[in-house]
Amino acid sequence: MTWAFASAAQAGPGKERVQDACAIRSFDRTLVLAVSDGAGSAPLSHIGATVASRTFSEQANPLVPSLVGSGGTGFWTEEDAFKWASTLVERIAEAIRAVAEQEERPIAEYAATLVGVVISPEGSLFVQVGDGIAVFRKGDQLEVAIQPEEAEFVNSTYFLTDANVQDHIQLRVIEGPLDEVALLTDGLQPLVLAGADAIPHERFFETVFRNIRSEAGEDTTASAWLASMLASDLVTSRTDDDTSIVAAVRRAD
Amino acid sequence: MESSHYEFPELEPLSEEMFLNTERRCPVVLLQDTSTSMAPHINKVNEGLQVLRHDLMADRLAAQRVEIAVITFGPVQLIQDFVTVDRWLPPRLHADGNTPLGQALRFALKQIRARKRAYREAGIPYYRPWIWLVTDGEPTDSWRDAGEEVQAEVKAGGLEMFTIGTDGADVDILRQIGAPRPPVWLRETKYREMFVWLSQSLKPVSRGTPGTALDLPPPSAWGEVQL
Repeated sequence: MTWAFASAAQAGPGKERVQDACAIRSFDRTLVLAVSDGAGSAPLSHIGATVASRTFSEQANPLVPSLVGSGGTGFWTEEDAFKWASTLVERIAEAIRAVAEQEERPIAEYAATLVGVVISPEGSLFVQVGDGIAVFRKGDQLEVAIQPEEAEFVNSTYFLTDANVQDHIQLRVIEGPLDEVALLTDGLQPLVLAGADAIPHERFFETVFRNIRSEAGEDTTASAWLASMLASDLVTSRTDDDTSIVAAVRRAD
Repeated sequence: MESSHYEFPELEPLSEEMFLNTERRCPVVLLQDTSTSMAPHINKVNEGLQVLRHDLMADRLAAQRVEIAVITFGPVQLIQDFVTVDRWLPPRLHADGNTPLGQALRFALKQIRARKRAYREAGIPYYRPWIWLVTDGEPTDSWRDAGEEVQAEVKAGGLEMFTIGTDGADVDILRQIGAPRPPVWLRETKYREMFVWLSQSLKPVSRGTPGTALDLPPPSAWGEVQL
């Protein structure tokens, strides 16, 4: 499978430092994407977000081959998927904890969320902790991978650094190849997903996907365009939060 | 925007149509005592409401996110249902009635529940609702059950309760309703300063940094915290 992709992260208006982070890694048979939102209230969350997205992109792929085809279904079972996601989240939490211990800071200061996906020709696995959202197209329809977990108020979510993070892992297995995928953190979410059911706003996603035009690998022009979009009044007049997006488009093989 | 069209001539330009407009909401109930004894000060309250609107309007995001409902007692009346500040025309209140505090609190909770339901149905994210209670007298109805309902909601993390007393208000009752946040005793009918404080406190809340606890300034310009 050949993929073209682009990404950007932008600090909210008036903020010095972006606390969101993105990571993309392309392998022979898989594409791994992740976004992470560092908690605004946690002073070192930008580091947490960077470690989270990077660790996901590094660790997700090696864990995949052992799961493909297990359970005799030809593809990951939900149970396999959960084991995979659970191990992955544990490794991410460990990676954050290692940084916290080295710096002698409480791990809560690194609080960050995660939305990640591993895409293979046989199928894809989305995993999520806390807010943020993944949207994909497989055939005609744009679809949200994982509906946001119930958290009643805007200013509360779950983090990779929570002691009970394993209770808040959400996942979704999609069989077969995907055509387009976008991951975004919650700053952008209300601008491009409508209603309680989080229905993708097609005009947004279609424009983003159409503007990724390279044949393979990162489309740096599209990444620059995404960055200019996140920095534009169109976005900054609608949210004060950090915003970030990773988008990928599959090319004909 | 226009500039991006020139920066990226080969790409589709950005457009308004790419984005939805669903601001988060921060619902605030102004639960205002309008019993007869308030009559000498009601104009100051009315002026304060104008100040509140004016001050919030100066903050573009707060004006689109803070929603005000005005409920007066007694009798208990919904003067203004929830509306974002940018569409809010502050009412002129009149003081004429008794002080059915229990009924007023229950009504405020009911309005908040209905509003939260509406937000959920529309998919609009929201902050923890506020009730801003101002009273100048002792309740004329039984307030204990309603007070316990408020306390249950506060303890469940579903409500920010503020109690402000003046003149003949009973601080002990306000303390029980508003716990753990102590009541504030309004000094010298400084309603204007009180509403400025409310506005200044709502602005950072409506900026919505996820996970942030309320960090409010001391109300020393208009009142004394009754610890």
